[in-house]
Amino acid sequence: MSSDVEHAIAIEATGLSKAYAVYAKPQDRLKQLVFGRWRRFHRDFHAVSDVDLRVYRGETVGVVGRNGSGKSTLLKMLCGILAPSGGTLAVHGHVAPILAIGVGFHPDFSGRENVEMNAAVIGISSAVLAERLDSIIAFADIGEFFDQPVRSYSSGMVSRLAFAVAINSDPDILVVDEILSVGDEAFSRKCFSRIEQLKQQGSTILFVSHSSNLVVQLCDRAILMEGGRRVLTGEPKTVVSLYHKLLYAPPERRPEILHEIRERDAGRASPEQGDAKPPALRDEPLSIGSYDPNLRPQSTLAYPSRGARIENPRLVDARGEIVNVLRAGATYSYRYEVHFDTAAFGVRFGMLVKTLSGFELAGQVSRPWGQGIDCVVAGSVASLRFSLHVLLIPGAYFLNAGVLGLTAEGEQYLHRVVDAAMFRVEPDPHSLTTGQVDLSATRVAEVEVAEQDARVRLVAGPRPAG
Amino acid sequence: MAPNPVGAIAARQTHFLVSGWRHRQLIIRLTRSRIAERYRGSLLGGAWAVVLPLLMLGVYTFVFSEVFHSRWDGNGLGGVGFALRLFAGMLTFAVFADCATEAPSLMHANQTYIKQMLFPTEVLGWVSVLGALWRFAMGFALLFVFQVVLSGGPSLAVLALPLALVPLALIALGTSWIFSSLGVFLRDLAQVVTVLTQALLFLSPVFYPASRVPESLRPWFHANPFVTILESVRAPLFDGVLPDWRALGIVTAVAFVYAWAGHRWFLRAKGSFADVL
Repeated sequence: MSSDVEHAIAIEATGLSKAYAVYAKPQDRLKQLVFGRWRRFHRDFHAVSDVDLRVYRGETVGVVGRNGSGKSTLLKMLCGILAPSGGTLAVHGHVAPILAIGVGFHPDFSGRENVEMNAAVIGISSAVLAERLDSIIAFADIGEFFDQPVRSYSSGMVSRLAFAVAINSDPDILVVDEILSVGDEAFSRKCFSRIEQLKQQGSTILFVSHSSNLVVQLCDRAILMEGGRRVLTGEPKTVVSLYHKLLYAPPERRPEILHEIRERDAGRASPEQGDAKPPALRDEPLSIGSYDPNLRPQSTLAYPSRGARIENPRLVDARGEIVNVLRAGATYSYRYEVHFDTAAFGVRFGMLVKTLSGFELAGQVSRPWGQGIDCVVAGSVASLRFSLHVLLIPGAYFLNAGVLGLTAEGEQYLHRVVDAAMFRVEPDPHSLTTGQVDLSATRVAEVEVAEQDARVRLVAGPRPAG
Repeated sequence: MAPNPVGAIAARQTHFLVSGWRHRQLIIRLTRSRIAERYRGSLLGGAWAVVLPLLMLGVYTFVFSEVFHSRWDGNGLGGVGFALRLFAGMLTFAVFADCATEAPSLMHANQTYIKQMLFPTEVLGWVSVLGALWRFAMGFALLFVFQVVLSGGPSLAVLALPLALVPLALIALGTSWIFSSLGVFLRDLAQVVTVLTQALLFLSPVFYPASRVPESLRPWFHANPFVTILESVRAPLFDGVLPDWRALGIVTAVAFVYAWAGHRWFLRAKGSFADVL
């Protein structure tokens, strides 16, 4: 290895492992101490096994994985809190770990006193602290609470203070374990911009996060841990989407998915595009409708956006005109666009037809559960087209629109618009249908086809900076 | 930017004086906050540091002069004089006893530092000893005032007294490091240490002068470093006599090696603290 390459490495680990001795009874620990030479009184629990890792200076690397996959143990070894039980590890530079919020904060002391203590603990000298105190105070931004006992703080304030100290220690290597999710939006933003700034200064950053968005936004590379092993290293987008696949898979499918992940790690040609490619759009013959300007929903309700926005929901006929007066038995296209402000994972789109009284008649989703689009980068715009075969009796109907994505809390609406559009089915004097739905056999079959045919066209927008 | 190879947390051996100096700011900061923590929120605050020893001194005086009519030695020194000597012994021994009894649970009490932060755990020994020395200083100030009021100004020999504290602090440090590291693995240690400390208290000349020990047992008795330490605290203060330099020198040397070995052992053991806690 040339010294140049060596110089550029911040962390290098080979075969890094951590095994804990698990004792059935406390006295076994003592027996092990005394008779350990001749017999083993414990079994080993491997929290991390055989991890090879090289992190270059200035790189930001995210570690994702399910609970208990060994992420935190790995980070603790990298910062030197835990001694590895096997393998080699070389860390070049001053490490600042932020593994838990407000560790060592004493509730009876004021913020100022705690900052002084905390600084001493993480190795900031008094002289340096005096220099940085103002920027720490500014960063924490908790006003006069700074001189109040920490006991009186909200948990958000504690984390702001702790983060302010740690991040102002100018580390060569910053190690952060799942804490950026605390605090309000504005503070998280401030943390990110400070992390960006550290990145620019050439700091190496390693972090564990359950927030897939963060990993995609901040990281140059991501690592997926599973069962104490590193199973995948790669582009954050790929890693995170596979992680989601693994996370939400039913247990019996996990080995299969894990196998797929390992294959990719072995350096297969990036299959990502192939995977995310939307089904080819077939244009189904549409009918002609008309437009009644007075027929507009008064009850439209848009839920708060969670990173995606549904726009321009509309019904389109064969001419490409916007229509809302439809012919029974004919086919139209229900369309809307979704703008993604942040990256999203496992994305599915949906629509729903409701009666005037709110009864939910029929819905469609773009893909079956668990098979959403792996990853949609921020700035993308998705164009949706649902075939709407009007198997309805005459009357007025409402349309809903929704985008679903996988988040830390499971599948959630990223955006949802209730009563996004409405339409009227014209009376047909020859119709034999009564009730709410036209149940003629052939048409029911077509509903199923329509469900399969929900169309998604993804237009990738510019990638966000970084 | 030195490389930081595996086991840096466990293997890098530094002399305890070097590491103590390197972390001096942290040690001072922690000691101050531990002391403040003790009185924070209490009504009398820092005044407790004086009130408690004063109460103790009052009780000793009452019990030993009014109840027991005790005499320190043949010179007919009784009453308050006895109480002051006893008090001096108690204060001195407490520096060791406080550290020894605190040690077995020291790492458990600070486990967040160990498990979540890069924290030089060896400084906790220093913090424990400095806290005990601070309490000693408070009590001693009181003792000194009483002594001056009762028997007039002290002789210059008092200036030698701090030298007697050097081996005391070293023994307390070494004990703190050894017991605190063992305490991580052996949770029963706390009970054992309490009993041992009690035994040592009675085997040391705290409640009686060393001269009361039968001649035949003297060599064994003097193997206890607290004999020399306690005598070296009392002699300058009460009798205006300089300590026995030879004995004090030997005890200091032994205490130094003890502290050094304790620190070395601690550094070896600390690598596995985070695993066990």
